Amino acid sequence: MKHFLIVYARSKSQVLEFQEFAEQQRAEANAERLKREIQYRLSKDIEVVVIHAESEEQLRETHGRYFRSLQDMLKGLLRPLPS
Amino acid sequence: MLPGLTKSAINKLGERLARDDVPSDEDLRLLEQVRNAFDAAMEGVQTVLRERLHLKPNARLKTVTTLVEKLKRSKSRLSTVQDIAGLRVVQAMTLVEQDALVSRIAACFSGAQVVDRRAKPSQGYRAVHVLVQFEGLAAEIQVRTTDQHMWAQAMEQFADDVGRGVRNQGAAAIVGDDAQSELHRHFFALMQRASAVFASFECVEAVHAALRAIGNSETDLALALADVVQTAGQRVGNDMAKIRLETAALQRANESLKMVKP
Repeated sequence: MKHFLIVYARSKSQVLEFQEFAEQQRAEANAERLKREIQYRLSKDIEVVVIHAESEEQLRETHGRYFRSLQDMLKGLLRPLPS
Repeated sequence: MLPGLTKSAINKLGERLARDDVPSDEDLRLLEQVRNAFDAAMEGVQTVLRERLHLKPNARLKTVTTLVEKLKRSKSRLSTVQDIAGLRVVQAMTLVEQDALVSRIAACFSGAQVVDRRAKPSQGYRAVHVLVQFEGLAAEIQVRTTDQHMWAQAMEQFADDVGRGVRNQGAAAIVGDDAQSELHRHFFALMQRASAVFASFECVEAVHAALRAIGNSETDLALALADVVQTAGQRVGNDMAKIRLETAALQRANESLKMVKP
């Protein structure tokens, strides 16, 4: 299990910071999250989150919103359905 | 349970977070104490799902921004918020398989509650949530099919663009009478239709899978059902094709308005 710190600007759909922590660094990841939350507390546009996932690949699947554009997601969503 | 903090202190913290425009450093640190306890519970739930069911759920604590939004919006007390600790399981599966997975998850936690948001979608959002307790603290496990998940992610992205209120209040949250707001409303309506079409598609797919499982396509009943499934499938396919065309038209219109970021 890894821990991923993400700082995300909603209005720009842009990841401002992405940091990976090893399994034993859960507390460090959470501490860094708190630092960023204090740093960005004046901005409602900035989202700070730590996601605990098996791998970065899995993270990108389950939280694709941080990494993919709306257009890109729509392409997948509105693919032709199997007949 | 939450060491060192009474329920009253937690609720007062929630009231301050909902009231103040900007949370103080002190309140953020206090909130961190609450979230640390939930983090431990969340890790416990994640371990149960990994070890007992061999699932690979992702987990995250609710962000400060979304938590404050929820406290402001729903007037919830902080001590009663169910999804401070949230886990997510996404799998390619039929509705029947989703039900089976939900049952297996719920069976791992005494007193688990299942909230079927496929039956009653909220602004098009469909999934099944399992609310569990781990050492006295709540966690929410979202169980989504791939299509439910992709829809939810697209809506989240859209909400980032137009304001997150759209996820709870729907089109009413899109204010303004300019061309861009109009496009946003069209897009929101399209997403609602897409959600309904996906619901139909998933039903058709589930029946289709059940028919395959029966493996008895020679009976009159099975043949009749297969015919119904095929017709329904064609209708869903046609609906989706229309939505695809309309989305493409909206995207073209958006190019000049930059609604959808490249």
